[in-house]
Amino acid sequence: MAIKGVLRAGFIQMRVLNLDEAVQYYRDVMGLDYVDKTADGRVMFKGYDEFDHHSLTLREAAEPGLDYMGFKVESAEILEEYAKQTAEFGLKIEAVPAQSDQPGFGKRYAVDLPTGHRIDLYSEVELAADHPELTNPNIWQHEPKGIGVTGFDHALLFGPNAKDTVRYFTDVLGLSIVEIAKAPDGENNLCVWLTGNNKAHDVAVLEFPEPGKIHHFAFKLESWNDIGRAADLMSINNIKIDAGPMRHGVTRGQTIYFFDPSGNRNEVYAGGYAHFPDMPVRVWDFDHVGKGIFYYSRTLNDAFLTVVT
Amino acid sequence: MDEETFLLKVKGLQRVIRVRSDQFLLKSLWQQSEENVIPLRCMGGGCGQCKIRILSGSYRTEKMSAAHVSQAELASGFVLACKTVPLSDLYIEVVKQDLS
Ligand code: FES
Ligand SMILES: [Fe+2]
Repeated sequence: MAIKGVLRAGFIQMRVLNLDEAVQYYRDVMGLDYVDKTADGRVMFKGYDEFDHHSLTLREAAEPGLDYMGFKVESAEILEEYAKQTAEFGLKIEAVPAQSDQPGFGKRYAVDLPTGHRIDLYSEVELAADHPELTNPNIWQHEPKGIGVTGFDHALLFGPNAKDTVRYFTDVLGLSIVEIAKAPDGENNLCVWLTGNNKAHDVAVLEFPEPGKIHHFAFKLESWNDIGRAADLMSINNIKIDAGPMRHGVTRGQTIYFFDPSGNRNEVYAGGYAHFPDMPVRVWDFDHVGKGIFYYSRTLNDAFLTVVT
Repeated sequence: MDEETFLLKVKGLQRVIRVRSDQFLLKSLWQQSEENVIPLRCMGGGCGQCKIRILSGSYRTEKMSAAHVSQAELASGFVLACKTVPLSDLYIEVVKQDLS
């Protein structure tokens, strides 16, 4: 195993306004597998191509947005090592017992980031009951429904002190910076994209006055054809599309942004280059950020950077 | 249109717009290509872009983000247009600036 430390962004818990509506959307339109309901009424999902117990939990609440996202690390030893280093770095960290509020998950550590977000670190997750086949495997264990996303991919977090959150990600968790978009002053960063593995990104962080906000969370599709089919299904199901289908200059992924029934922004993402830790960082000047995000229209609208949950 | 409709008057707008009685205000506007009357983004009651104040008329609302409309605001006529269904003619005021 050559990937060390953080394996991937593997989990996210989101708030929704109406759970029944959200379940219908994430299961039937996005095509995630419904895993189970927790004792306190939250609902767990996973993509058909994921092995872990679940990768998305939805909680009904008064306002939509992010509860927390999770990063899976290599081993229980590394998890304890990160916990120690996180405390030394000066962030608030708290242990969450195994098999507690996220069924199937081993011990976690909840970390409060300088941007006002919570992330959880964990190393052990039970194998999902309905996982990809392991012997003479077919491409699917069952035919994907709806858009048929394969799994959770990444999230874009908005908050103040982005610089410190990025420093924690690189210096403690060992994530690599893949690309940077510069602020208008050319000095500070507007947005930083990071990965823990071979994917183009696991998480991105954008400097924003309000803490703890999420711009979008993304699910993986295989190809540009799947992105086109996803767009068809969004129109058929009256899903509000925010931007796309299009390509990002950043990571080169092909993408659509759209909204779930509670106004959380979702993305379906395909392609994107394979990252290797020896790659130099790619940088976008502020006057080229439009092209970095919207590679074809090449213009950024204000609402895209300010509308968050 | 066969459906029952109401008239929507927007503060600062000369025209009066006909909206359907059986669906959310913002959806009615969107379907008539009147999407510039009230700023709009998520259509799900989450982003707060479509915040308006109802100055007169009756209406009903569905659950919307408490981060954008508090209980006190709701009681004084503030709503998200994507989660508001008109029950009579309405006179409204747009709260947010259009960012799109
Ligand atoms: S358009 Fe987002 S809250 Fe109405
Ligand atoms: Fe993304």
